[in-house]
Amino acid sequence: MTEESVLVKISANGQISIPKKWREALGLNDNDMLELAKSDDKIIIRKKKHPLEEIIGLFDDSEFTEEDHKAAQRSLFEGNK
Amino acid sequence: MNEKYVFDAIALFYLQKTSLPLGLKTVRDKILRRDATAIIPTIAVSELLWKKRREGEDAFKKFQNAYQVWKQSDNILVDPFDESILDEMVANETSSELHDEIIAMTCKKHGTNYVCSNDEKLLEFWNLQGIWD
Repeated sequence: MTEESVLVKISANGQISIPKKWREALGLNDNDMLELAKSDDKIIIRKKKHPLEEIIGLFDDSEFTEEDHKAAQRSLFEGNK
Repeated sequence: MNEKYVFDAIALFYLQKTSLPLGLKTVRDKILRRDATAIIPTIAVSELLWKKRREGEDAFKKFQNAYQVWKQSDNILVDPFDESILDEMVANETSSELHDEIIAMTCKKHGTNYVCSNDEKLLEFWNLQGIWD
C-alpha cells in the first residue's frame, strides 16, 4: 500500500480541503457523506457508503411480476381465497 | 434539492437488483448520493414481504436483511398507512381502488408527484409522474 500525504491548513471554522486528485481517485462527489474517526493523534476520514450499496444484487436470483403483485394485493384485501 | 420518490412494491423490489430500468437506476443513484429520499409505503413493503415469504426461507431471510437496511438508511423512509393517509383519503370523493389510493395519498402527504411505478392505471387516475425507464 502506497501512502501519499499533503499539508492543508484548517480554516477558522475547522474546514479543510481534500485535494482534487484524491477526490477523483476515490470517487468523492458533492454531498457525499464522510465518516471521521479520531484515534489518538490521528483523524481518519472514510467515505461513508450508503447501506443500500451493500445489498444491491440481493434479489438478483428472483423476479417480481405484475401477476405476483396482483396476487399480493389480493392477499391484502381479499385474504387467501 | 432533495426530491422525494414514492415506491410501489415492484419498484421496491428492483431497488435491490443489479440490473434495473433506467429511470429507477437514476433514482437509485440519487438515493445513494443522498440527493433524494425514497418513501416506501408499508403497503408496498407488505406486498414484497408476502412474495418473499412464499419463495422460501432463503428469500425471506434476504427480505429481512433488506428491511433492516431500509430502516437504517437515513434517506429511506418506511411510511405507515395511518391516520395521516386516511385524512387524505377522506378528502377524495372518488377513487379507483384502495391500494392505488394509498400509494397516491402517500405521494400527496409528502408533497411529491413522483412515484416509482410502471402501473399505468395508478399513474393516470391520480395524475402522477411515473418513474420507470
